[in-house]
Amino acid sequence: MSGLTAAKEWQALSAHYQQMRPTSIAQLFHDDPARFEKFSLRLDGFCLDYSKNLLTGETVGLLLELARSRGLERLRDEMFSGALVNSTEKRPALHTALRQKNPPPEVQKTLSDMRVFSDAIRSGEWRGCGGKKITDIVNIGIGGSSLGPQLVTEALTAFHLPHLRAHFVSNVEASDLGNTLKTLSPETTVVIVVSKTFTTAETLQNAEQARAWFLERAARSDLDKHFVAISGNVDAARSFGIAANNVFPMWDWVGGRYSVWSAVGLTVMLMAGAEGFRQFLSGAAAMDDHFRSAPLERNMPVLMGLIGLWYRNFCDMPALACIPYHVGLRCLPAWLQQL
Amino acid sequence: MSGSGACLPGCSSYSFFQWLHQSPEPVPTDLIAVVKPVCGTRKQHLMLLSNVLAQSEALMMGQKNPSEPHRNFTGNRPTNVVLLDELTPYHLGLLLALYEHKIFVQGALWNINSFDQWGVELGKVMAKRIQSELENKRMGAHDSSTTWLMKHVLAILDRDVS
Repeated sequence: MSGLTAAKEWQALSAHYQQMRPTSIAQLFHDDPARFEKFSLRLDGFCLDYSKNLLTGETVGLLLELARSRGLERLRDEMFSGALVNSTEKRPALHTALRQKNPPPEVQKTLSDMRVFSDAIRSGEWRGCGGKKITDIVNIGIGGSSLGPQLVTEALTAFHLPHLRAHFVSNVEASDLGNTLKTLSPETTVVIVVSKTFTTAETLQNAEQARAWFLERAARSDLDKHFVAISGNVDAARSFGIAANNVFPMWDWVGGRYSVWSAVGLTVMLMAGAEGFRQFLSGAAAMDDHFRSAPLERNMPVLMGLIGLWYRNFCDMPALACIPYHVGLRCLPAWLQQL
Repeated sequence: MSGSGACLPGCSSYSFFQWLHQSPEPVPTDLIAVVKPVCGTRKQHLMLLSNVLAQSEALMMGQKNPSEPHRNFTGNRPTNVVLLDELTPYHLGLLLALYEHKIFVQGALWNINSFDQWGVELGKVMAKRIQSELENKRMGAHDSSTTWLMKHVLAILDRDVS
């Protein structure tokens, strides 16, 4: 924040708030019949109406001046180009590369490996240790390794196959896993262990419990058909008992909270199909293009971010509520909180 | 994510709407809805969407009632309304990427790194230490609250074992 509050653009917004303070949003609608057209945006069947906010064209102009003075466009372009925007860990943040039309070769290969696995499970060609088809997927992860895939899987229930169910276990509290496993049969279950380092304490604890549950009724050699890892640490996954072929990679340049677009989305692909996953990536790519190319004053993420800053820093409204009116988006608020 | 957030699945009759309408400080709110339903009747779905539109309007307009303060709604409470034509994978991709980039924008302005997670480390390190102390029943130096809580945990667990 240093320097930020002293900037002349910041001071201008402070002064502007004093002018805006006595105004009401309802009055702004009354004063300007074209208000909705000015303060709403559409993109591919997606609509953002931000007209019912305490702002005018002048407010937006001042916010954009602040954004420009802070180098927002340069910082945005640096993120997309793979600069080390994660400065404390000296890493790029290239989740956007996972969803671009022509992703890097390693991403393409991973997507293709995921598709082969997913198609085999969905078609029933992949058989469990008793020769039966897989009916249940258990995703074990924590934070972004759980919330992202869970949100997307639940939101896309309409696209699920009737014979396949997904379960998400992230809590280390034992009843989370226990309640899930007691309804399942090891012969028809695939467990996906999601951990970049394969050392995450909670995830490994749950994974070990799940393996013990499995080995009560199956042989260690059967793990190949039932345990999968999403991890950057192939060796650790292998010594856990997971076949090298069943390890899908995670990369340093994708943060956990932005990872649903990577192999961490395997459960999503299993449940919504490879084509569904492709469309999910392409929706995000469309937003990436919009964020990168739309002028700032017509740019959805820029405006939403700036409006949030306006309330937080100038209007003394530090809280934020996010309310999805769809049961499939039940996990959206939790996912947002971990972003 | 910015500030403290109330993030709850929506339906107008939840009591947190009382907070949204009548809290001393307004809480800017994102209302997110899907226009085309995948199931259910048209009537049922219109009921849902009516609630979304009504909340956005009501939070802005309020209703003055000086004689009965408990029924007074100040209004002037901001909302964003996000409408997805349908809940398809494509639309979901748009929605999630929108919020990812929104957070990036705020991080860029506030000079916050939106990609590291050092904030979770301290708790993890402390938890490891306390776990080892509890396993070995050898308490290190803690404040009196933590010390009591640790002893209490062990007392209850050991009582149940014996």
